Amino acid sequence: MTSLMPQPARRRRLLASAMTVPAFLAALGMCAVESWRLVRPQSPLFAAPFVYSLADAIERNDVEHAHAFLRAGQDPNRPIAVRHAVLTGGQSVLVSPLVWAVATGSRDTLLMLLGFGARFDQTGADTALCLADALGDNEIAGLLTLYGSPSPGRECHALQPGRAPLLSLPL
Amino acid sequence: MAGAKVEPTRAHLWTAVVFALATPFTFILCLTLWRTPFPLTEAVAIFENVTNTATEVWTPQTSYYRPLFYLTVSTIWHNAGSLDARLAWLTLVQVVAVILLVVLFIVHLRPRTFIDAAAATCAVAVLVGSPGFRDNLELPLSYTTVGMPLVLIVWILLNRQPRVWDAPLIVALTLIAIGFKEQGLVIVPMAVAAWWMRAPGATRGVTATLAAIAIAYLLFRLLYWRADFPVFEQAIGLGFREMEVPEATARFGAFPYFVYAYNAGATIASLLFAEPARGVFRIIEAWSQGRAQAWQLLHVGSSIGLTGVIAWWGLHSLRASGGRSPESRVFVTLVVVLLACGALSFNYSRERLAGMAIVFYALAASYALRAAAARMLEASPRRFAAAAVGMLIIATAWQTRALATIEYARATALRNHREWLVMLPERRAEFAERPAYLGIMDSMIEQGTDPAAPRPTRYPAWVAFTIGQP
Repeated sequence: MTSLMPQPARRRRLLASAMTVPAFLAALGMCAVESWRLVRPQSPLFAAPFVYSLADAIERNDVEHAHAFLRAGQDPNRPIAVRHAVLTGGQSVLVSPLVWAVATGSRDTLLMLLGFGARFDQTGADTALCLADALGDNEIAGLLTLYGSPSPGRECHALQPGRAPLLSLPL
Repeated sequence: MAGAKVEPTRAHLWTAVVFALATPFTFILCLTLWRTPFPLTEAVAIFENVTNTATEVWTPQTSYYRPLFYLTVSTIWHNAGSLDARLAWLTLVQVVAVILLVVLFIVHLRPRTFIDAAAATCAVAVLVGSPGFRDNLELPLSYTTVGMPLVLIVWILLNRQPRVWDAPLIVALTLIAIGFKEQGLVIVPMAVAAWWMRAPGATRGVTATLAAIAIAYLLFRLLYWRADFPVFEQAIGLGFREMEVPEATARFGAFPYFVYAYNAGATIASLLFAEPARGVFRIIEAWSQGRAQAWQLLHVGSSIGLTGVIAWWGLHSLRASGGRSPESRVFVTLVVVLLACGALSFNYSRERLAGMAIVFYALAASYALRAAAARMLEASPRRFAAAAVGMLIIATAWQTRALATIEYARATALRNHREWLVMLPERRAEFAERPAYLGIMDSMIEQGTDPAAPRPTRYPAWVAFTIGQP
């Protein structure tokens, strides 16, 4: 048995290797991942899935991609074409990005739009708040009350039964 | 090992190997910090503060007192030309402190053999993989990140033969560390422990001077203490839940000392056992409910394992040398600094508050792993095999934790970026009466919303669960 025992020098190397190999692999792994990041920055390992339009980004509450569209020059107040099975009854409708954020309950994107130049006019602010109320989204309604400047005595039209919310309200 | 004769060239070679293994991590972390946007929530208020009240940094206005940090920020803010230059200099303070800490740590260990280098490599991972290091990387809050290399420099000076300039340098570094954050005070009990353990540079004069500085500092703080300072400055953790300040004050405000002791103990335990975090036993709770994740077990397991090895080595070295060897000095200093960090975190427990003790925990890890390896050289084959597997597991776990530090820094960068995207309306409403705040905030929007900000790597779920990706 004694003759099969590793010599102290060999044991020393083994123990040292046991402690060093993970560090070597970690360093190698880091270098590999960072090199890949340089070569393929759009790889799924580093970049979020592509978003085709501001409307899509808002619907997903993808605040970074939504901001990227504004940064690229898209006007945050220009109406966008949206289509949704429930909210628009499958029809294509033109709405402002802010109203679309309210309709889809995209809290972060709504705040981003308000922070980067999107504005309601008085009617728009009232309608957006009515929409949030009608959809039962108290959080969005609270944000609109704080930052959207709705008029205190606004009157909301009731949603028409069986009709999509964005087709029911005067947008 | 001790007593082994090593050619100088080979000694340099092993030090170079440790540097080579630490370089990718350090480079990637520093690059991540360099590209990280400053947060909206903390940074703008600090910059507004130094813009409005630059001359009042020396007078304690609240329970927090970090005059040299504010002086540094103020100096940069008022003297660097453009906003980009100001922010770059402030980031540089953080980055240089990180580089200095890692470089000094390796130079101080100066591995001379393969096994020294292996233990030092693990120790570097312990240093940078600990929450006490990770949680101090936020911009521009460089309080403890600056203090960590300073405490290491003072330790190095205390442990070498004294030179003429050592005493004034130790005093100056201590004052800087304390001026950046109260945690710098741990240098004083550290020096007392070093003097008691007969460290060559810890002369009676240096120790007495540092003790006098600590007493003067405490008297100064008491002079400006006000009865209306809150009993609890921040939310506290207790058991399995966190309590906000109003609730904690209502429940424990009349007699907060039990909670203060709990907070101190929680900070110490978080360093030694990775639990509790912020005073809350989250991992134990998750484990008892059958929802513990791999990273949680990895953190607790690696910390318990390493702390066990350190305790064995420390007690053994104390017994063997009668408390007079350099290694036993590290162990006693670790205990003293840890207690000091705990005491300084009495008001609320956070992992970052153990930052100054991490340096000594990592130093102790290096010596302990080296001693454990030496002990195993003569063990039976079965014990040797078990020890080798144990060391492999501990090393792998801590390297994983070091990797997680980089992902944590990236997640912080993304969180800062999102703050700028989402919080502007709220801030504009809340700070409508503070034009300086709004002016600084508006000027920083571009850096905050730059899409080039670092983002966490989108690892597969099993990797994310293992490293504990935030």
